[in-house]
Amino acid sequence: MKTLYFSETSPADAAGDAILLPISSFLSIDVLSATTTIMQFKKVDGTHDNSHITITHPAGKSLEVMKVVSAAMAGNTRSNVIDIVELANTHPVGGILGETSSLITGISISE
Amino acid sequence: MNKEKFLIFAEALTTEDVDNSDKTVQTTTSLVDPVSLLNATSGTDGIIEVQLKAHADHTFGSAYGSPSAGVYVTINSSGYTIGASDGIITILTTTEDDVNGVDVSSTANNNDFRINLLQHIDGGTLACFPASRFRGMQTVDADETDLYFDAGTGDLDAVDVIKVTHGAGKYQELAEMVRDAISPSKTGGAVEFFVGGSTATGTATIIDDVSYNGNPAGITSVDIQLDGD
Repeated sequence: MKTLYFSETSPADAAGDAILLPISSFLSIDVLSATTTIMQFKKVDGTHDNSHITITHPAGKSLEVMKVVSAAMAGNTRSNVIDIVELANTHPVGGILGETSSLITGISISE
Repeated sequence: MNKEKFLIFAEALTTEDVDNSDKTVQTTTSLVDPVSLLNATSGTDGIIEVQLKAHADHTFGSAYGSPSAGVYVTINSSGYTIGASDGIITILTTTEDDVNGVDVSSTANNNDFRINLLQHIDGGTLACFPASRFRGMQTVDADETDLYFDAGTGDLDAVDVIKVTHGAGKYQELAEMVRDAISPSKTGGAVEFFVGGSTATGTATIIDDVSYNGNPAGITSVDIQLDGD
C-alpha cells in the first residue's frame, strides 16, 4: 500500500506533528487563498469528515503545487512511504514549471 | 505498472469594471470572494492587474507616456496600494509617485477602472481530484454536463460537481476525453483537464484556457461546485 507522509516539524515528537495517510484515502486538493492550498483525505477516525493538510506556498502558486504534489503522489517509491513535502519540492516537474526554489514552505495538519 | 492521474479543473479568471468618482477603488466579490483574499502584495505578487481607461482628464506618471484616450492603461503595481483585507485599491497621485502614479478625474464617469484576476486564489475556483474518486458524468442539457467526484469534505452522502459547458451535442466527445484523462498511464501525475484563462481583453494580460487533448468536446468553461460551499 502506498502511503503519504506529512510532518510539520523534524523530528516529529509531539501530538499532531506528523501524519501518515494511505493514498487510497486521498479525496481532493482545493485552493484556499493566494498562499494556501488544502489537501483533503478521508477522516482518519472513520467519521464522515476529512483530515486535511494545509500547504503554504509562494503567492499565486496553487496550480503549480497541485501539479508537483500530483506528480509526487504518482511517483515510484521503494518503501511505499512518500514524504510529500520533500518529494514535491525536489520533483523534476518543479523544474519543468520553472520553479527554482521550494514550492511548499510549510504545512499544517488537521487530523 | 500504470499510475494514477489527478485531474485539475479551474474556472475562468474574473475581471471587474468599476466606474469610480475618485482614486479609491472598492473591489467586490464578483472579482474574488471574499475580497479579503486580496492584500497589500496582491499587485506585486501578480495576483491582480489594475487598469484605468485613459481620459483627457487624467494625468499619468512618466512611466506611461501619453496614452490615447479610451485605451485601458495597466497601472504599475508600485502605482497603487491595496488594503490588508478590505479589497480597496488606492491609486497613487503623481505627487506621491511622479513615475507610476496617476491623477484621476474628479468626474465620476471619467474614471473607468478594470481589475483583472491573474491567478486562482478563491476557494472553489481551482480543484484537483484523483481519477479514482470519479463517480460518473451526466448530461444536464445539450451543452452542459455534470462530472461527479467523491466530496472533499469526506461526506459519503455528498459529491463535488464540475459542471462543464461544452459544444452542443458533444457529450460523447466529453465522455471520451474523461475516459482518456482518467485512464492510468506509465507516468501518471497531473492532467489539466480544463483550466480557465482570463476573460479580460484588449491591453489586459491575456491568459489562455488550457484543456486536455486538444479539447475535442469544445469545453468553454467549468463551474466548480464543492460540497459544503
